[in-house]
Amino acid sequence: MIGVDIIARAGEFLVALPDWSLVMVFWLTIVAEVPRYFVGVQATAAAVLLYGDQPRGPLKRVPLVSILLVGHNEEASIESCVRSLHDQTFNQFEIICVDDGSSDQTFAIMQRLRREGLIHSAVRLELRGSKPSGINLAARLAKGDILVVIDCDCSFEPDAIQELLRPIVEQPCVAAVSGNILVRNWRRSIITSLQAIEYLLSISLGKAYANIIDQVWCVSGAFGAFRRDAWERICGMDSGGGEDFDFTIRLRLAGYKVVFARHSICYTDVPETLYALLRQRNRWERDTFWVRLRKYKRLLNPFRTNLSWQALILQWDFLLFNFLPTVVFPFYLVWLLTRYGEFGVLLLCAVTLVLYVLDLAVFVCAVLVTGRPIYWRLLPFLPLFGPFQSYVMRLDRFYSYATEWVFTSSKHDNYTPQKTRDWLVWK
Amino acid sequence: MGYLMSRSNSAARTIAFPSRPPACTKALVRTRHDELSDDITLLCVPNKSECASIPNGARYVYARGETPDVVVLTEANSTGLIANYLQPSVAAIVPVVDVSGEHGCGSAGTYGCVDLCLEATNSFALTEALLILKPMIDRVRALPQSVIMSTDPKRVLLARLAVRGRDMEPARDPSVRETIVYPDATAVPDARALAEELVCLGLLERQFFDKLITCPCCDSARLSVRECCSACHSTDLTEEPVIHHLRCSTQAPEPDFRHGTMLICPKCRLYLEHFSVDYDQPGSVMLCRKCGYISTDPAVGFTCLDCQAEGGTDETGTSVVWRYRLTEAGLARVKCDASMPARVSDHALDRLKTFVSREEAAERPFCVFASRLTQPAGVDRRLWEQTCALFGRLFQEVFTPETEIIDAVVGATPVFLALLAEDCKAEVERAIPDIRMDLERHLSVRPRVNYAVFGPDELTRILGGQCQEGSTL
Repeated sequence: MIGVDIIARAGEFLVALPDWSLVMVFWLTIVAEVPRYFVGVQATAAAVLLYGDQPRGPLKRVPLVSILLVGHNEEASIESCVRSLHDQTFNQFEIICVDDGSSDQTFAIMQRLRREGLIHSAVRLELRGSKPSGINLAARLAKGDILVVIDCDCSFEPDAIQELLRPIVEQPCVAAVSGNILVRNWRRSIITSLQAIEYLLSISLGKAYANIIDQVWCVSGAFGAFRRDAWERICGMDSGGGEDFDFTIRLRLAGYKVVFARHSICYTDVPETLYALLRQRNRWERDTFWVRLRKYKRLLNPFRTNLSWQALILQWDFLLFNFLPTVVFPFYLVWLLTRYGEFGVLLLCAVTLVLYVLDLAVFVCAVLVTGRPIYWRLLPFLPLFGPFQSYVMRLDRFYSYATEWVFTSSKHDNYTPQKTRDWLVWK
Repeated sequence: MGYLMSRSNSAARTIAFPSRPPACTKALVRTRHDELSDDITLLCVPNKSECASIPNGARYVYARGETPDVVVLTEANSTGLIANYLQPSVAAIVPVVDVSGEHGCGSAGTYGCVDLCLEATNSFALTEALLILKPMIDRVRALPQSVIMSTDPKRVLLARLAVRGRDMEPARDPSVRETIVYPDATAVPDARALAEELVCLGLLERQFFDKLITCPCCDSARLSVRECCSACHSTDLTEEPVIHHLRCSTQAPEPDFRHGTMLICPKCRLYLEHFSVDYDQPGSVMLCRKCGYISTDPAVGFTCLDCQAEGGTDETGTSVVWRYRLTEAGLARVKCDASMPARVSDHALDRLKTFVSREEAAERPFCVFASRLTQPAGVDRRLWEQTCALFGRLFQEVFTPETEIIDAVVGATPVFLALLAEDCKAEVERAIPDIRMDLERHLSVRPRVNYAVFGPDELTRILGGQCQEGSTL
């Protein structure tokens, strides 16, 4: 009854407003939120377009495939990951494991797996060197013409590798394929359920849409495949966080085509507590900031030589629909509440309810596109998703951008060793 | 006494004495001679000459039928001649002293029957030796004559160990394929097999000594073991450090960076000058120069020195080496005049007979559940041994703890018997599928197992001698 009352009062207010005033009140929603749902609508269209794009049986003439597993203190997950790989419908590959300075039993497990013949090679590094350097070493040791990079805590649908390889094998122009990542531990808490919805919307649906418009700019380090010649041409991964995003940008700038394989599904665990989630996203957002606005800020310049329109769209899309709304949002919130007082809260609630309808539509599309009916069970958590994204995650993002912009806080990120971070460009 | 040196490859002890006793010790020598109060008889082998001097209280024997207390070897490598003078059982039981002064030139196997070696031959040294051997001499004299003159090698072996008051110790000998010999086998041929039979009879017990890795082709333990490439088994491995260029995250074996004396990053072409600033060496890898395979986890392979077979250690067999210790029952068997059981399987049959007679006397239903394992083709020996051992443990677990279990080897196949009191044959036969599932579901190698249940009548027939050594089981 309260919700209906809120909508009724807010509706009366909105009807009473002249058009320009409506825009003045909801300018942030119109600028930042609605495009997001437009994306969703377009993704729906993409899903319809992709309706006939079903898995098409075994691959023919697959070159040698190397799977690269780099882990640091992964004793709990590495064995199940390797065994999951051997349960694949396509398993004619070698597995190269690099233990990146673990202090637990990771390497002992790798040795045992090698003796059992489940992995081809195991290399132990005494000093932790960061994930990019570990992957570079694994790629150096690999013999395959296609390199598949996988996180140790992932598990897979039986045909995941086959579907991941399909675009590379069947389309010579494709240099990299991004897999579809879903949340495995979505039942553990409300936080994991909300992340599961987010993954569905942003990866399963968002990347499917991006694939249609040739805007796949990030092959996740958790699950992606690369053609070796392309890998070697751009000399592997670079130092710093967000190495997967950085690597994909370099691939695309070198002219390679990158696609998304929505039928290639891998599952990963996500943080189970709000604190862990905020820490993880802090790191991700700082890395994003660093890669986009420090390392590749030149891509924002529409007048530069060798202009890439797709890169330009990528950067300005981020700037206009992500960065600016994030930065402006806290000020908008303060403005709305100071100007309208208590009624501002009612307005926000009304907007949230309206956005819920859009969320519902996008969620339905996402589950249909993903083809995993089990995720319908996330529907009860959907009302929380919009407010969580708008108020919690967006404020967290604001904090990340602010600290990165002002204090370059990623410089103190312990995800990569200090010696490596000292060499990164901080401008 | 001078000092003792223990020989690692022989049961004999070597004692070093001065070539002549110092004058000031003559009184002491006389006192020590007095300790040899008994009339100790010595047999010199070869019997050409006597020792230069003989201690007081000792004398030489020459008659072939007379049993000496101690055999004295006066020439090197003359252990084989003892048999010319003594009956085999006496030769094996009586203590032997080597006074040739050239001991140790033979292998552990050929020198095993010597109990004491003297570096000097004089009355003083021999007196000390006899004093050391006095307990053995006393134990030989305490043995029943039937034991000393026995023709049963098992009994002789027991007597030999009882007289010496020690275990039957293995010794390492690289000159034989097994790399292990039992020095006692010099005195009692085929001592190891006899000891195994005595273990089954409960007269000796096994003590772990070592586990040997053996060639899967020829069972030789003379293997050359070394690191080799996991991919091609080549031993041409070289260890290369891994270099991590901190600036660009390039990480690869050092040869990728090496240009003469300089290190240059293959990705960004920068010189790597300062360790820990420009670059790190987080580890190293083993590079196979034959096939190029890289790993930090090389395989361990072997080459058999006898048959030249090559392979990985996962293909090898294992062989457990035991030392054998006399049990109380074994010691009692030596001291008394009781006869030895004739065959190994008699022990199992004895237990079976005891069970049957006990249950028949109690007029209760009973039966025996038997399973016989047959080695499937293509399964290597090591895996088969592991499977049999696991099967044995499972067999113990399937039945209640109070169930008496007999494991024996009939022919070459392991047989496990469960003596089931208060269970009738029909009930157990109905349970065979369940028992079978419990026994076989954990085995990676599926052996061919024959299951059978024997009721009272069949057991009476078997034990009544209608079947040979329980081969029906």
